[in-house]
Amino acid sequence: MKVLVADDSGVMRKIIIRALNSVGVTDTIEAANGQEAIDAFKANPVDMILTDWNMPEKNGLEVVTEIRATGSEIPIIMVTTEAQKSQVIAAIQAGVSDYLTKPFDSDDLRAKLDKFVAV
Amino acid sequence: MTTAVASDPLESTNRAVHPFVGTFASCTKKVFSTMLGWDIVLADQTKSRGFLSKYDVSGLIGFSGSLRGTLVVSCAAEMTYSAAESFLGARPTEITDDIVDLVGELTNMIGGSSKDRLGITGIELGLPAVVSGIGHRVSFQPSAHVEILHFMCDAGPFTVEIGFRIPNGQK
Repeated sequence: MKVLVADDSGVMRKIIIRALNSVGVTDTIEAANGQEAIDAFKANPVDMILTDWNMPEKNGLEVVTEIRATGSEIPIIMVTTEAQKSQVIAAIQAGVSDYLTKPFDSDDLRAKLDKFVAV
Repeated sequence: MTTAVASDPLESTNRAVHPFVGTFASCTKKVFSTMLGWDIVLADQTKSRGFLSKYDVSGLIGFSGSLRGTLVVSCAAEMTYSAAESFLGARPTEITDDIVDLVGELTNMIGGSSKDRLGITGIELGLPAVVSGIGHRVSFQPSAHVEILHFMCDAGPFTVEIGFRIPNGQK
């Protein structure tokens, strides 16, 4: 299983990848902005995407919209500080599969991953 | 003015502080406990104007829209090394890009979660910035209402300063 992790924070990418490793996912790709995430998605067959909302180039919502426009139905989890109801609704309408707000602990993240990860 | 005496300062309600401050305090506590696994204690709350921080690293994030202001998280370099060790598994010995990234993320999370729990619609959060330098100072405009939260944890003391314009003529 290959997972794309998109976040402009290198520290946050490391935290998420460490949590992925803990549930048995070791094949990961990193993207530091929204455009990199879209490019990585197009260049690599990935099985799941974890994306931040606020990123340079293109934000997470644009990433989700563009990926869904390709017809892809892979799980996409939005991992973000944006937690207002209107934003969650916008993300769901764009096509996110699940939503995780920062701050989160490793159990929170694992619970989300367990819904989608089959290793 | 009455000074509160409470076993947990976060539960104190009769301090002479703006009601917003409790939200920032509880969100700071949650960010440190969930992301770092650290128990932090709110040791004191003060008001001030002008030059405030005298630490080594500060994370800053601005609010705009229906609440205008800036939140500043300041601490000693050694505390950021301990935080990085908790986050990343290795202890740096100097301010690295990872430290800057980490302090920015913590500041962003405190600001973001506080914004969502203040119960005020229309607040926009800016991009976090990090300043480093031994004994640096951060100042607010004289017209800002400034509240300082003094926290203590095993890795040392740190502060969260919130400088803002009080909206709608509130006192």
